[in-house]
Amino acid sequence: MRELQHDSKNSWLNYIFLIVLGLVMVYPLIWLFTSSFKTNADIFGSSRLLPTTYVWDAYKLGWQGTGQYGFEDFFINTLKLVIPTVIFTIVSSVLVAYGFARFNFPLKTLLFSVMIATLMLPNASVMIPRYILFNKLGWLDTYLPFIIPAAFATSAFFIYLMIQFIRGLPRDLDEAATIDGCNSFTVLTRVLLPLCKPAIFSVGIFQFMWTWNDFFNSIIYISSVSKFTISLGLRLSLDASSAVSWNQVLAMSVVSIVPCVLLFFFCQKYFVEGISTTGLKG
Amino acid sequence: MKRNKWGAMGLASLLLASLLGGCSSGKSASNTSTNAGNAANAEEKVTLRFSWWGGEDRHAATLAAIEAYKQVAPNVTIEAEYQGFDGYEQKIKTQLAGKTSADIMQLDLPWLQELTKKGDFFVDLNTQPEFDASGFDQGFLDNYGMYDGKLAAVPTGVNAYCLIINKSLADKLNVDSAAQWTWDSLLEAGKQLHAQDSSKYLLLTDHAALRQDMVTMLKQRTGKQWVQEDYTLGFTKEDAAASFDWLYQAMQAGVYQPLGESDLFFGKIDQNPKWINQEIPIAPSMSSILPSLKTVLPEGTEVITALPVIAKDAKDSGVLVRPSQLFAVSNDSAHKTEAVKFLSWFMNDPGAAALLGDVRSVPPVKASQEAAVTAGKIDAAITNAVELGLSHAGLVDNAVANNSEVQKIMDDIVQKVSYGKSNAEQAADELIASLTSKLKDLQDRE
Amino acid sequence: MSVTQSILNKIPKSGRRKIKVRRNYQYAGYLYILPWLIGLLIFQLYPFISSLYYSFTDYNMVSAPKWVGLDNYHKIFTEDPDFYQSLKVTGIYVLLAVPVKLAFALFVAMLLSAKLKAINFFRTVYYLPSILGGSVAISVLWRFLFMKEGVVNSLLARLHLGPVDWLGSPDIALYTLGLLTVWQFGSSMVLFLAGIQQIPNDLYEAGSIDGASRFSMFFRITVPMLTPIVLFNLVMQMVNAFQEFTGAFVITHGGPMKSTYLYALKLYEEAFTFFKMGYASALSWILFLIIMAVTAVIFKSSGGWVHYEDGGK
Repeated sequence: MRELQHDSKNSWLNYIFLIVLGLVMVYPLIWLFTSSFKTNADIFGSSRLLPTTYVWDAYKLGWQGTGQYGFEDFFINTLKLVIPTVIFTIVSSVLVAYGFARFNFPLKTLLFSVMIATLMLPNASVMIPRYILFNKLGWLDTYLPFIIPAAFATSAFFIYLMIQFIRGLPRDLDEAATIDGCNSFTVLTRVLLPLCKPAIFSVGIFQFMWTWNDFFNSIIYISSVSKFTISLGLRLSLDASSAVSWNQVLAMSVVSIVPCVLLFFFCQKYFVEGISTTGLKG
Repeated sequence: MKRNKWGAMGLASLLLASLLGGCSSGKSASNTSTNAGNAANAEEKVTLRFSWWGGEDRHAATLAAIEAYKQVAPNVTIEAEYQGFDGYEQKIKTQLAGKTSADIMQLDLPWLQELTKKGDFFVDLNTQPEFDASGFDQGFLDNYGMYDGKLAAVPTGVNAYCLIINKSLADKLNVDSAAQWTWDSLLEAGKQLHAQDSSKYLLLTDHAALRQDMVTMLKQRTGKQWVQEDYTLGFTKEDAAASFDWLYQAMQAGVYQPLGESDLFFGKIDQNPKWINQEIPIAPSMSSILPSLKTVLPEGTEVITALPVIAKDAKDSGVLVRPSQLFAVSNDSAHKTEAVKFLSWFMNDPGAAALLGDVRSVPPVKASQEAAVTAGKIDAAITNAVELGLSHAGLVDNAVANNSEVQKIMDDIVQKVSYGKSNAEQAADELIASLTSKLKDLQDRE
Repeated sequence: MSVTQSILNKIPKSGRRKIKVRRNYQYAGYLYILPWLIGLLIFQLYPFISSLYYSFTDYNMVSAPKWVGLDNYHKIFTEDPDFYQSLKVTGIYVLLAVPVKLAFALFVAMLLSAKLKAINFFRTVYYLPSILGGSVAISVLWRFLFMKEGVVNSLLARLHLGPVDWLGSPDIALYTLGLLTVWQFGSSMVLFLAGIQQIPNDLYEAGSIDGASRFSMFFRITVPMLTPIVLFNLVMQMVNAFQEFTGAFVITHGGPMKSTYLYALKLYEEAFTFFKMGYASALSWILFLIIMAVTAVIFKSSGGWVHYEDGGK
């Protein structure tokens, strides 16, 4: 009995702590949102969360931008970059993962180890020659440096995630399907693929968010404003806008994170499932 | 908001006189020899990319001019690529190396000096019959646009280093806005102001402006460039130590806002809340920055300019007069003729000048100056700054002194002194050691 | 079962004879991993090896690479004080941010693992900062929060504290950036949480029968069972932290006084401001070797502290 009491008191403490911590965690994001309606005077030197005077046009004006290109363009550009990248990532990592998870071929162990090793290969050490290579190929200032490597399953993390998931599916399924006349490809598409949905979602969502938020590669590869992504557009407005319109910069920051937040809320289940059940065994 | 027409008119003639006087006019290579091969069909749709950096007012004016060009050449679409200063240099260099640069680009003088050594990136405007360079002062072009006998770029405006003063605030704070400052009087006044009210500072800055101060001080002490064209130093340890000592004292005394606060606005000093909230009355800066510094202040605030600090016994005034920026046309451009045509229009057309006004300081072409003045688009304060600058102009910067790696060394040491992490002696020693090794390295790579 | 059944029903019954074809080796596997293999060669192996080559050259992307032998390495180690500065800053950053982040993630995961009602809600709230991760928006936000006149100092002023020069002081700025990383402890936390939930309950039951306190059960049962996850998190976070870029680039530009001049910034500057591609490649190889060395040390030592349920492998 005493034990129980102790526990429930503890869990109250837990709750209080978790709530306070939760507030601290999201406070910056809430501040970001409310400040997009503030005047400059409220943004600086005021600890109030809510504006004293509301400014409503920050979103409209910020969205327009100052000139020929506004956030509408940056949004469309980002989608043009992100969507093919995500699709190619999913397709290629499913194929490769299937190869590793279900087939036995010479040098498999070695190749698998190489793949795991590339998981730890720092991007910095391949960045420069890749840049030179893409330059020679004439891919600079296009989205190809993002899309093509995705088509070739360059990210070991996603392959690994898929492999772990496919390994968790019973082999009986494949065998039964093979007996029923499926070739190895149709085994994948008809039997395994539907079952892989959670993992596919995880891969897709991770890749979406990473590409959406990517800054380093964007700043290196994309140079003309007409092709700017959200990240670059945001930095543009941070640097170029005169200090009169800070709320616009904040408003566009809010806009830029909305897709990720929405995606996260709607696909949370897959997301947490994907990372926690497949990311780590073995 | 009064614009002084007559002052600016006077400037036009003065500008020409002093530039002609100051420069040895070299090879005048205005050749109209060949027709540039691909004379584009007038009906052909052409898209040109035009990139520049600046503040909001420059963006707005330049976009307006681009809009106006639609009337002149309906078949040409100009895509504007503009941003703040920070990161622009990397972008331009990356694009040039990757052959993805805009057709027309705004460049800073140091990069142009550096880039023309590395490769043949820019169209020789003298070979382009479509480009009208006749309105420019030949000496100004020779000094800043000519590289290896080619006219690689043209100045966008005449820019002078000056003090930009929020006069309304200065009056309120009892800061003498008419003073000709010396380093000593500046230090004294700054000390007093900050002592009276610790939220106030006399001077707005970022580390690049501090570097400029140090370089100016060295020039004034020695009468020479701080880094010479032959990769040697133009100053001694004593010179450097004295300059750093001044900086150290100025920082300790609160003449400047602490660098940690001000440097968050590096390259965009107009965003500094202390300037916007009128807690700093003076910004030592190039005259081309004035419009951005002015727009963030409340309507009716009086902003004037004055000659920058000159030491009592200066051997050279150290006053920097140079192109605001330069425009160049990319050699990789698919539509060179169209690009050159646009640039020529942008620089020479009175209508364009009337739209652009002073967003790149005073236009370098005489007719454009007059058009901008007539349109009331040139701030009298900028005119004043450029006039003062021209009449007190100091040494012309050489490419080595402007090299980005060389400047970075000065930047680093200026920061150490400003943060009080290095005293004047140490800083001087470090400056000389680092520069010597860097200059040797640069020379080796030549 | 029913899924299998329904699939089996859908499959046409012809060609059942194809089984037994692949007994030992199934070469079709190569076909599936082919995209990866090509990608590996073109986008990873080739760049990886050629960066070694470039590191022995002087190359500005305009003229052809010029072989200079060990010159770049020599210069990095003997003539480039910024190299040591960036190494030092990065070292501090990794050593502080990674352990603090992991400890925090584990701590919160423990709290969440108690069977709370709103666990999903909390998990979402804590995870939110992580998904926004290295986005520019968050860097912008951080800048505003921690400016001298920013909201953090305003809040501190209410408590009669500060103001602290979060981003302007060379002694503090790095920690402010570190805080940004720690704030994003969510993804590590989710992994820990999953790990905790997989720990068999009977271990705890056995523990409480033996009269172990919660505290000692945490260290005797939970922590050892989680060590594989700790290892994974540690390595991944470490590799990432060594390459941290966006925050330092957008918020502080490496300043004040190079106090946030992380290695990735140095690398970026040499490569894309000065176009010293050879020099930058040499820097990238040094970073690679450092990361490998640290990883090796972690793995070597992991034999001593990582506990595998099935006796290790």
